Amino acid sequence: MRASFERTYHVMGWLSLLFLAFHFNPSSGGLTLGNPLLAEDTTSSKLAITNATILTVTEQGDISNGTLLVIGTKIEAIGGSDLTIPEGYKKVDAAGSFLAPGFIDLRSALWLDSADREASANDGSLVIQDAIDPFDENWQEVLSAGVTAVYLQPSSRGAIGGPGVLLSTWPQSNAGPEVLSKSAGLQMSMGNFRSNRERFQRFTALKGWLQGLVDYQKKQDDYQASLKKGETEKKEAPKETSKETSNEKPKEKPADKPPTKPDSDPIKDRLVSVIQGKIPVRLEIHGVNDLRYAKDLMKSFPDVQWILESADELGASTPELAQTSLPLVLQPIADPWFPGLASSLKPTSNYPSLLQDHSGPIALASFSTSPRGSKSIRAAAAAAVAAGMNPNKALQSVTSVPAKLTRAEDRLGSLAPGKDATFVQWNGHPLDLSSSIERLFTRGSDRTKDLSLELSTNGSTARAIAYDKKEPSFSHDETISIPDSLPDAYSLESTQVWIDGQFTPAIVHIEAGKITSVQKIASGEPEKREQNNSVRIQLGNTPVTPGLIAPFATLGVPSNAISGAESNSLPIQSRDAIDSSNRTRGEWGSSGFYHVALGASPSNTIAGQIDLLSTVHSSTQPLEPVAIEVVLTESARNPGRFPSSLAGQIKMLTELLEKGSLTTRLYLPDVATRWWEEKSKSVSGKLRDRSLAALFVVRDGAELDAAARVTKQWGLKAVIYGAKSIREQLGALADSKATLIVTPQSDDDYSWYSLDVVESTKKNIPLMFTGDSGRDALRAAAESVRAGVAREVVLKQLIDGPATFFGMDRPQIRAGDDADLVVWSNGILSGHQPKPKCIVRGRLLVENASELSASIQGAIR
Amino acid sequence: MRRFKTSVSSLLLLLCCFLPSGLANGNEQSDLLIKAEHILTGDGEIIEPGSILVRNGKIEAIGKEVLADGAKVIEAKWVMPGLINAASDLGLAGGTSEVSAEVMPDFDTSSIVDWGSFAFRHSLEEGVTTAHVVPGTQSVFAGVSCIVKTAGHGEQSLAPYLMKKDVGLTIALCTDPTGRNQARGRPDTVFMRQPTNRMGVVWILRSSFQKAKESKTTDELDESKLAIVRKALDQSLPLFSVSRTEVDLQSCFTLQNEFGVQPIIIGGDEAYRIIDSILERKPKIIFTGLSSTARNSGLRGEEGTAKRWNVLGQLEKTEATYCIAGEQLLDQARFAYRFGLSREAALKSITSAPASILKIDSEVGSLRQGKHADIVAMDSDPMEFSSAIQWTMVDGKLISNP
Repeated sequence: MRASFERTYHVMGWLSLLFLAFHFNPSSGGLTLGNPLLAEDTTSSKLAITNATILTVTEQGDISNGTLLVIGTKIEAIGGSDLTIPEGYKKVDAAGSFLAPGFIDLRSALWLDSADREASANDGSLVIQDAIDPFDENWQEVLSAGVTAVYLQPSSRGAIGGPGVLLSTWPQSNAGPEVLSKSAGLQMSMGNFRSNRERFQRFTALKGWLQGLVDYQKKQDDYQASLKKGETEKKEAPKETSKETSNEKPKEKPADKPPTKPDSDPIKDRLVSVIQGKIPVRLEIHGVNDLRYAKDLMKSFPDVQWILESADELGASTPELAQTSLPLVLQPIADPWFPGLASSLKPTSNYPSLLQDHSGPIALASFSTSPRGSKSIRAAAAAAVAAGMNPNKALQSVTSVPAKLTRAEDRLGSLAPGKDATFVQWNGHPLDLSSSIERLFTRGSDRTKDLSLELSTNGSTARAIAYDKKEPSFSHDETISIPDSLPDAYSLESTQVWIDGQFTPAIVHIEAGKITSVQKIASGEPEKREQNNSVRIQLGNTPVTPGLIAPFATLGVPSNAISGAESNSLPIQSRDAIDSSNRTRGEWGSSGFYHVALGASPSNTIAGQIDLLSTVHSSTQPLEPVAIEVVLTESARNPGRFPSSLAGQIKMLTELLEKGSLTTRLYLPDVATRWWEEKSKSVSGKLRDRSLAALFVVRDGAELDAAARVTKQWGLKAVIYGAKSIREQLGALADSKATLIVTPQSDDDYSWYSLDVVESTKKNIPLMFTGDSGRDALRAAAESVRAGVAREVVLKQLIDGPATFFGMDRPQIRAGDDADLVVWSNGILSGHQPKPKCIVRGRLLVENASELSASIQGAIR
Repeated sequence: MRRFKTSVSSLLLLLCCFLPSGLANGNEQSDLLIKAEHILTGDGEIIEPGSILVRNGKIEAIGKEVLADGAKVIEAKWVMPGLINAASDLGLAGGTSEVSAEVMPDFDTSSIVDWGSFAFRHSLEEGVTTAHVVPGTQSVFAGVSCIVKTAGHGEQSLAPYLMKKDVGLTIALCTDPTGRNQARGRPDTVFMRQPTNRMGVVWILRSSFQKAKESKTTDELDESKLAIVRKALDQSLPLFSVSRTEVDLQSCFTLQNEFGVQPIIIGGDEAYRIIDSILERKPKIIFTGLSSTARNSGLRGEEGTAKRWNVLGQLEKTEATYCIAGEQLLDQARFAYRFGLSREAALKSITSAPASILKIDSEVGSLRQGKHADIVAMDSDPMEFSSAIQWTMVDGKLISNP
């Protein structure tokens, strides 16, 4: 009810737009607003997009300087620059851009009514199309991520849920999404069983059901056959009476009874074509036992078109699946499955080897249960590249393969004449996470104005901050040759070495763990080969930076290991909670983050002191605490003690800043009380004179507002973490001069979060980036670039921001410093970085793990 | 969030169709002349027809004929002042009470308002332009209240803002603060504490007032808290008392006798039971429990309806000060009108009366020269249930409405 109500407004909005477009003079804003309608009303529009790199995802491959002709809703022709453009075409110059088909998510929850997301069945009776909510407004978020089609099916809880459907993400006027393929699939699941007994039961159930279809078909066929037979007999028999005999005839010849019509079953009628392979079966499996039963099942029904889903717990048995050429639909690769984490790899999934070795088609799907989850499909494809999948294959896995598997390949999934003109114009390679959408077409119509790409509503103006036509980060053929083991003295040469806050072509000489000299290369000038008989490693365009710093990380430390008993836990120091068995710490290190600021528990308002930890040196003297963590979120409110409300939290913080002493309910001996007071006073002073930073953990608007207010009032050196909605507080935030820590979007976030990030840089709010892992932190940075923050700003803050903020003297790329470097073999922000090459004190961080380096090599290949 | 954004932008666009194009361009400096068939000024007068000239967010002139050259003209049918909700928790985030302590006079509501909250938008849709934000009632001394405008801040006309802080001290003279506490149990839990019943609530109030009188600080009541209580005692800071039942109201009068405080009552659900002493003492009352949607209203029959609503008429007759607060203000006023309050009095009870109780009547609450241009336009008589709000104006900025 509510939805339709809002929807009415939406429609009314468009109506009023129409009104505006026709009634107002262009200068009053009608011009910019009127544009999207132009594309709407011309059904036979002719469009020519020129000079783009066209990723056709067909045998035609990639066409540079290509031209794409659209007529009406279809692609008319694709060709190189030699393709002649006939008269009457509107030309669009897309120099520097990439054209690619829209992405297709093979497991989505968009358009699904929330009540039906978990719906499942065991007899194929659910028709997911009945659960579509045509007023779901999340399509805008999904379409804005370049996803133009989504596949829905019943939840995998049930054995056989029912048929799935492929839908457009664009709601055609207000009738809801267009059905792109009706025979897109049938949901089936081997279940998630621990024992083979249960698994066998499920297997029997599936087999029985399919056999039921076969029998049903046979009965129908027999009936038809005998009907036919009866008819021919009838013809042969001499016609004694003409009309009224037809009913009495059987009685005359009881032996020749006409065949009885078999009972019809609507479910089976709908799905019987499954056994002829006309509707593909999507069988979800997890472990190797599932796979074996699935194979048995497939053997019994060879005519069925089988697709295996998920396959996320195969572990060491992965080759058993990789040898087959079955079509697969895989989940996004999770961090623990990444190459480089060999030890934790085997028990769950050997996903990277599946991506690399499987000979059949692979599709990637988001498997998200959030209606906006499909927007992560691009990140999933980029992660697959990082895990070793060939980039072209990765692109196919979210475009042409899904189209084929849902039987929509004649319309979607690739760019070829005759197919739907549904494609996206990117300002970089579509699988580079920092690329953003310039234009988006569905069925020949420009939908760019309807995407949530910008904050301001003034449609056709340039994007908030002009993005740069940056370096081609998609440089996979480039072979960089860092030996598995580095000599004592060597030099690195790259056109992108991070020196003094920018990338400069340079040669870095390293000896005995130190940088001995840094030699800049002037562009164009033939370089002088200096002295030096050391090994020279040519890195081409590969970026080389100092080790990065994560401004906030939890390293997976459990909350109770890092919290004090009091809501004022000032003496807690986060480094005390870390021990040598912590694997996450090493993972940050091997992903290029050589230091992390380890946060304390979020269960106390004054949570404790944040320490900077090295993730690559195990034995360095601890650094002084760099910040005090202040938690303003609900997690620190406890009805059993003060504070139990935000107002109380603010009061407690103000008391610390104001008086430097904090009342404690603990009964302490005098000595301890004195120590406590001194500690509080000194921290309070340090916070006020900005020698110690304050790190605020916030979530909601009021909490962010409070953090900004306190920061401003006391002139704190502050950084704010965890805010997911900053729009209303942008002014206050900018006013407070606090720094904002950006984390990557989750499935549930709206994309206007990153648009707000863009807006915040316009207000000169400094940014820093973090996440649950190093890859996550880089993704947060890439998303900021994608949303429109200038690339240079993001890189500078990513590389130098935290060190500057915390006032930390970490090694730079300059003569005399420790040779702590990161070689970003696949670019920093592309999202294709499996693991960068980490050089610590002149040596590779991981040297002797042959298995690991093999998998990295495989990935870079 | 998304829905909100979409509908707002659509609505604004829709609005552009109906308004002269100059307004759509957002020229804020220009004057606005609202020509209405009926103007309800909110303080009892009706001007039919009349005009209001709005300049720089304030009402420049109002009358039957207002001269305004070059002003943009907006036609309207019925206009009245923006409504004032005299008791709300509008936009409060992060807990409306500090439940870990019973004496929290320094709980500052103005510090924990979520200015991005949708509650503001919802209130605006009901015609509320000003709201008194009081703390929750889990602590005996609940905290200090503030007054917010639901829109009109800066250039973004939809943004709410803080109009006045430290409006008054709120006490919970009811059983709410006892809810979490228990008299028996393990002695080491924090919930083993006072008060556990109404007597305890009164005792905490009485002892704290006494301490404030004697300037005696304790662990519970330090100097900063004491200062606030003292202000309430010497009546330099208004005291709001959340009291709903007959006994609560009587306790209010007891404290009044003992300490000379003049609590403004928020609640007053059972005022009809002690109507005589109320008519005699004439406390200011902000009624929050008259309509059946309010809390603590399990009563059926005339105790639930006629008797409660009739109190308003009795108060009106004796010229006592009262107002209606809570959800759906306009509907509540319409009920009051059905139960016999005059049209003028019913409208007053949600506009100028709350303004005078909150001591902001020099700025808002009626359509008079120099006051905020907070105006609600309706398609028909506001006292009819079938009338709908056409648009709302806050500080001279037009906010659309369906």
